[in-house]
Amino acid sequence: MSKKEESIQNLILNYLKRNKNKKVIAIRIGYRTFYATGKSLSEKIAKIQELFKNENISKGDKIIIFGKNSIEWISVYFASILSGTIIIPLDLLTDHSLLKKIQKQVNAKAIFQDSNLVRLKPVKKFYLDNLDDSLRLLKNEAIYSENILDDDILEIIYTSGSTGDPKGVVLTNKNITSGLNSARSSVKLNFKLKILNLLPLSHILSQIYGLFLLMHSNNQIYFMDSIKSKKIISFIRNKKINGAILVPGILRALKKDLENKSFISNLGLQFRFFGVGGSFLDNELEKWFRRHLILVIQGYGLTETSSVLTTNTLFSQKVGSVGKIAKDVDVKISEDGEILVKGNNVTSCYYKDSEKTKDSFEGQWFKTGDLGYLKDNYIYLKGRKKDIIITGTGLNVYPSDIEKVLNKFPEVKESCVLEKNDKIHAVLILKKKTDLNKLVKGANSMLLAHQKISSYSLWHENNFPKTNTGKIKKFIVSEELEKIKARSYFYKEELHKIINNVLNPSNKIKENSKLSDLGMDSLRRIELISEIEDEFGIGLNEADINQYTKVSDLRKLMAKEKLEEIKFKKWQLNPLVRIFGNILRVIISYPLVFSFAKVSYEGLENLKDLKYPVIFASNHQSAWDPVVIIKSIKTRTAIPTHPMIFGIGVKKHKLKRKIRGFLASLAFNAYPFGEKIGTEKSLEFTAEMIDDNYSILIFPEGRRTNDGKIKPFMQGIGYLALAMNLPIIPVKISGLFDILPINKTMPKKGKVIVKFGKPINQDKLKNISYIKATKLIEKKVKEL
Amino acid sequence: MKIRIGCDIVKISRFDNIKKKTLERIFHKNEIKKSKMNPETLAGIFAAKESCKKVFNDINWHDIEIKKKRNGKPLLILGKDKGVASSDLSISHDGDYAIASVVFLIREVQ
Repeated sequence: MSKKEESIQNLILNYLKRNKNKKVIAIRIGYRTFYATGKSLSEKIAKIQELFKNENISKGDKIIIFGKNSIEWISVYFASILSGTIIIPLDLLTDHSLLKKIQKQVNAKAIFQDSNLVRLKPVKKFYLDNLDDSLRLLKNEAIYSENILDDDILEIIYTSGSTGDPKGVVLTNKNITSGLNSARSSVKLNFKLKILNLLPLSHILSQIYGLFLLMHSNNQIYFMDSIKSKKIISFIRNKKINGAILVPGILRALKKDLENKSFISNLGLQFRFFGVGGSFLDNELEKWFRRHLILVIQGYGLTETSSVLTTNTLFSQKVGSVGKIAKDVDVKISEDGEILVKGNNVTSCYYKDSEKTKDSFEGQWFKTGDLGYLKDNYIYLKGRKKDIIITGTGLNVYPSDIEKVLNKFPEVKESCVLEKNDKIHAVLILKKKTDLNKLVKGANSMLLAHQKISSYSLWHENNFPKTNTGKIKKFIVSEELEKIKARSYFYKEELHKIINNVLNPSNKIKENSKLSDLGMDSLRRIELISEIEDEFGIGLNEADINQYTKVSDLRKLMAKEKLEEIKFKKWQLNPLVRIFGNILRVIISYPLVFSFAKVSYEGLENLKDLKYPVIFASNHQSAWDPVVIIKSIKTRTAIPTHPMIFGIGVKKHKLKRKIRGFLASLAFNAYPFGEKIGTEKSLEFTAEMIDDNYSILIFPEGRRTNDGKIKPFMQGIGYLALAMNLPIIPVKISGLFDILPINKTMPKKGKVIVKFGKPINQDKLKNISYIKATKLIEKKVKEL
Repeated sequence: MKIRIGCDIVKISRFDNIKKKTLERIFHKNEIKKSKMNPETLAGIFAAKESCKKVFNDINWHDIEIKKKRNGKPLLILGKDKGVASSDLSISHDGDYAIASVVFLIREVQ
């Protein structure tokens, strides 16, 4: 497409120019998805460059970016690359003392961070979640690039890796460019795809594969603020995403949620591949996805090598290997089995740490610290050098060899082998209870004499402490081991496990033990419910669980409350369907309703300068309310409707209801909303509508009035108002109750007045609760 | 009219290292923000909400909001219509514990 040695600066500028009016980056925050076009990004970047100038931040100065993935994060990152300032992107888990240490080393002029993260006092701060406020008063200048040389530093990435102290990896423009070039030659994505990047942008893998590479091939890039597998799955399905980039840990969680389910109805036909990196991916997981025709691309690399060393794709794959060496990278194996690398992508040094730099290089070759061997240009990994255990007799033991043997046992979920008192110690996480002694004996029979496990213990949690890329932090495991007392009970069953973790009871959990005897009080009850929701996706009602509830009762409740799994129905947003629906309305609903009702509209001027989408909140007098309101609104709308209408959560007349629900969806774009499908789903569906530019018409009373008076509003509208960040238009209908009230089938003739109020803007809803928001909207409707 | 009363006591240290998702189940976002995550304040609000839940057993955490009046006295707002004619709330802390009591005056329904 463009010439090979394109600089990162040109890549950014060309990309923004090329995609001026296209939505290039999308990010899901909370329930909504926000898009940025090339133009809106350029404007933001130009203003940030202007901000740099005002703050005297110039080429060679340093800034820290510290926050979750966001359009602002990317804008600051790009602005900084173009202005030649050096970026220090920090991991979200950075704590205060580490932040202080890093700042002492780099002396950054400013920190761009999320406001909810730890703050460092003396440094100038800009909040990413509020960046627009800082930029508002700045002039609109054009975006520009400083003259940047190959050897200028682009960023310094701090890694703690799986062992000890953090170190700053210096990456120059040359490093990044050549890393990107190697990535391009090994992964080809030259179609217009939608790709979801689930890795934090502070990570090099995320920057090269999840940003620059996708920009180069003009893909649409999606981010989201959650790594819950259920949310990821519905996001992929609803946004028709083609591929996702993630770490093995998330892939494993996705597998758990997709097991025994149809891939097509959960992810959609369009979904085709995962790009996995950061830590080792086990073969079984990869094979499982491949059996379902999902391609898994695996890579191996380090921050120090600008992420890419090898990649493994469907077409170039060897079992047990992490892949073929990337183009333009030289690899050799040292005498003691360590992988050494040379190339333009390799860092020149650790920041202000000449000792570590010296230790990490052997001549021009960078020492990766990973052990492995080479065969026909493919790399096979054996483990971390630092993890090697040297036994009392002086023999080398690779923990990964032993872990592999242990992990083969079906009872073992994860294992971690380390040294304890000069001997080999195995720490295990089990899937189900088993005779450990027997298991370890079995493992030992498969191991060489010097590899034999001499002691073992069980890990007390469901997972090992891991780095953000999923490597086990062995130094923490061994520290913790010292502290942990032997646990007297071990639970194989999931619910027992959760109860044990939350309540930590002193007596053994049995099916007939009362939760209150196990130590449940009102606060722990909430924790228990939220853990159950996380683990099983079941929303329990607190009031159902009291001091007499037994474990077996809890299980029954869970079986009862299991929510019907409802998916967002994309068909009803299809343009053809909508046109058909509109025609239906015009030829059937309008003539019918308006032949009985003489409708006059007031306050239409309040709708004139509105920026759609908005939320209309109206009182509910009659089944005809939507018809008279929609007739006057000049924008597309969707109507949140009681799930019962769609036959959800009811037993009687299911088919009849389903047909009625179908017609409501067709003509009025109705969709299920309310407690029956859960707050989470309700808000998700609404956000899908809004993301597609549909305004929402909601009747917050929840049902039609039975006496003509306005009933108290339900809190759903409060949730919507706070979660969707849109103006609310109060609407009041009067007169329709006399024409067609609830429980009547024959309409009478009459007059109807529909009043539109002034929009309630978001600044009025800031810092108030759902209750207050609901009450405010109710008041505004009643006042009309 | 009918009088209903509820009270609750909770150990403040329980809110020292509480998980965010648990917090968000109990408190409104503005309550968390205003409390500045101070365990004492959180415990006080929790006790107040728990006392309300003892009076009405079909009420959710998010149906109750606890605010502070200008004079420092706590104010109770209910999101559900429970026929309450009047209510009062008092919160107190001492040492390791926070305690709250609520009183409701409820209209009798025919």
